Order: sequence, then C-alpha cells, then structure tokens
Amino acid sequence: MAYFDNAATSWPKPPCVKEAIADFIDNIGANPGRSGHSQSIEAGRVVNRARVAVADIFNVADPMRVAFSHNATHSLNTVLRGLLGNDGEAITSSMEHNSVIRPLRDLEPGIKIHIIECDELGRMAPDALNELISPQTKVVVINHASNVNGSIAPIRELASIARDNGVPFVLDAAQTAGSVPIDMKRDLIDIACFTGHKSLLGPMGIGGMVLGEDFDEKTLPRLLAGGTGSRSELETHPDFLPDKYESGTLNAMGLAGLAAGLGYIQERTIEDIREKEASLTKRFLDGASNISGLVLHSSSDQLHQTSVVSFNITGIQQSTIGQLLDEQHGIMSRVGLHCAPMAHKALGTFPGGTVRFSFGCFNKAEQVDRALEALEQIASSNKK
Amino acid sequence: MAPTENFIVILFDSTNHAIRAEDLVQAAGFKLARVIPTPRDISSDCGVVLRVLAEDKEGVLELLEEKGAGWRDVVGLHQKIIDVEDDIKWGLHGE
Repeated sequence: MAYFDNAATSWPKPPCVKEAIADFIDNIGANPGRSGHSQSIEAGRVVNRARVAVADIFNVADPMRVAFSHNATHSLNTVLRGLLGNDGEAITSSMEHNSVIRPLRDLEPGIKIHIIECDELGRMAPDALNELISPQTKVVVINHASNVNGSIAPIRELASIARDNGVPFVLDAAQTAGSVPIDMKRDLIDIACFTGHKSLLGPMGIGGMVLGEDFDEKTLPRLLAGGTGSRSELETHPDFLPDKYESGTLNAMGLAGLAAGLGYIQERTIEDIREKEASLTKRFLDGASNISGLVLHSSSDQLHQTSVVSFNITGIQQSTIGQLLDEQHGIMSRVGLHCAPMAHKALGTFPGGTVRFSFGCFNKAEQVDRALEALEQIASSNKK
Repeated sequence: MAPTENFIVILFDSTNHAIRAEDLVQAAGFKLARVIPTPRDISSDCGVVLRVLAEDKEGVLELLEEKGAGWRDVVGLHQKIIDVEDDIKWGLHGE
C-alpha cells in the first residue's frame, strides 16, 4: 500500500497533529478571542502558537502579519479581488491552479490578464515578466510550484522585477510551504497564500496569508466583514492586523493541528524533508525513465522540482492506469487535469491529463520501487 | 486609602495582540505575567489585558517596543494574590 497523493493532501499526519486536535476538543474547546475566561484565553494561545510558527517558517518577524482563513483559495480570493477591484491588469503564469486563474477570470472583462507562457516541462523565463509588466499592472501572482508536474518557478527573479516596478508580488505557496524553504524577505514576496493540510501537515480547513514586512496592508481591502471579538462597540470592521482579514470564528482546532504539524517540521527541518522527498523523486524518475512506453512530464533538475511528478503510458488511458494502480497494487495516485487545465495545455497533456504521483516525507523508497514494478507491469501488459 | 498598585495591565487592540505580548513577556522570563479578563473598572475594547508586575513595567514595555508589539494603554492595578501556584484562583479585583 502506498499513498502518493500528497499534493492533494498530505497523509499520514505526524501523530502529534491528532493529539493536538484531540487535546483542543477535550480540554480547551472555547472560542479564541471572544471571551475573557481561561478556556477562551487558552484557545487564543493555541491560535497564537500557530501564528508564530507560520510567521517563523515564512521568515516574517511580526506574527500579526499572518491572517488565517479556510485555505489557500480563500486567501487568494481575498488578495486578488482586493488588489485588483474592477480594473487594471494582472500577470500570472500558464502553470497556475484554478485557485488563481478562476478568481482572475471572474474579474474579467474589467481586468486584463497577461500570461507568462511556460515550456513543456513547466519552466518559465523570468525576463518574460519584463515584457508584460506596465503601469497598469496591479499584481503579479505566481504558483511557487506546479501541482501538476512539480516544476518550481524562479520566484526571486520574478519578484525582483515586480519590486522594481512597484507591483505587489503574490505567491501561491499551496504546494511548497513546509517542503521548500520560503523566505519572504530574501525572496521579496509581498503576500504568500498557504494551505495548512498539505506540506504543513495540518488538517483540512485551515490556511491563510502572510503579508511581507514591506507590504502596506492599507492597499489591500478585506473580502469579508464580521465579528472579530475586538472593537465590539463599533459597527464597522477594525482595520488592524490580523483582525482586518479574520471575520467569524476561526477553525481553532484546525489551528491546534497546524501548530503541531509546524512543530514537527521545525524539529525535523524543512531541509531534511526536502532532501527525503527529493531522493524519493529522483528514485522514481530514474526508474521510470527506463520503462518502455512511459512518458515523463517532470524535470530531473532537482533544484527546480518538488516531489510531484506527472507521466503517461502510451496507449493506456490515465483513468485505467489509476484504477489498476489502486485495485491491483494499492497505490493511490491522482489522474486527470488536477484542477489546472492551463498547466496541462503548457505541458501538451490537455485534455487527457496525466497520472500524478506526489511523494510525501513519510513515503519509503520500497514503496517507490513497488510502484515502478507495477508501472512496468502495466506498460508491458499493454504491448502484448 | 487606596491599596498600592502592585501590577500594571497593558491594553491591546485585540486578544491576538494581548496573547502575542504574553508569549513574548513570558519567554523573556517576567514573573507573574499573564493575560487576564479585562477588570470591570478598566475601559478596553478588548476582553482581555496583559497583567505584569508594576516593577517590571519599564522592562516589559521596552521589550514590546523592541518586538513591535504595539499596545493601546497602560493602567495600574491592585490585585491580591490568592494562590501563586494556581493562576485561575487569582482574584480579579482583590481589595
């Protein structure tokens, strides 16, 4: 049995995540930031632990610059709708997930979208941004790593061009936060949107955004207004961080789990996790390149590749491969378009899509070897 | 005669800020510092405040300043310690 769908959500979680969530339900349970009693204050401490841990992992000194939401999609909507409003131009890449391109398409025709085209392995030339950026550009939004084939974007170069032009650089870190080091300061990122349930090893239903220290939050209106537990005497929503972007009760038990997941990552280190995932990925790519009929859509350049790989087997439908892997070999993969039709167009795999394996820090080399044997078997049975 | 104020309470914009400040102040080793419900005679928009020993006022505010943890106000407080071992038993308005 092998779970290779960590790009959809990581599994298993470290045991401390389950324990933290159970502890919250059993022993804390109250609404953070709403009441003054000790259980509510304790719930607030749980939220703060998660906030501090997220700020640390993104290298932002002030944890108040972390605003929680349901997931990366929720925060990307806040950011894109807020920065763009009804006009102006946005620049993005052809490797985006629907979490970016759909909110942008929603704002058309008021806004204009420019796309940095990527090659058949999802790679882009940062210089292309220079050609597209203009005084009308209100945001550059880039997927840090593709959820389809794992290609990592040259974010520092792109962000530097955006910074030189005074345009906010927004990072979709859904696929990388927790498994690829991200430094808001060094990488010149204005806003990073993240989800808690992938490489941050927390539960589903919690995510958020991190505002870089050079980004002025006055330029980003909130998406929602509502209860915050602060300034209750006012009928208008407060404008200080993080309350400005956090309306309604937070998923505090999710945050308990997220804080535990982040604790696990801090102890193990991102570098160790990245190394483990890279070695599994290399093992797979090396083996798969020897399977006749198997076509890889991911790069062997480890510096620009996460643990997400896409492939096809000539002559067999993706759905059939996925079903055989599951039913005969106990291997969980994801087949199809992975919510990223534009990326498949860039890779030349639209509309059929690909079979995707996404390795996690708990996968083992033996599982990769068994998957390679299974694929060899599936590919060769097709030729008979 | 009014009792001596042995503590100060620091008021913040929201619970998020108060608890963040508590984390910083406790990590720096300031004794008896903790978030408590806002005492009724103190006007605050936020349901909780950070209480620290009056003698630590300068050190605590310096630390918060250094860490960029902004506060709204500082008010003196007299609070009787009922049981140092169990903070939950602290009287909120001990006279």
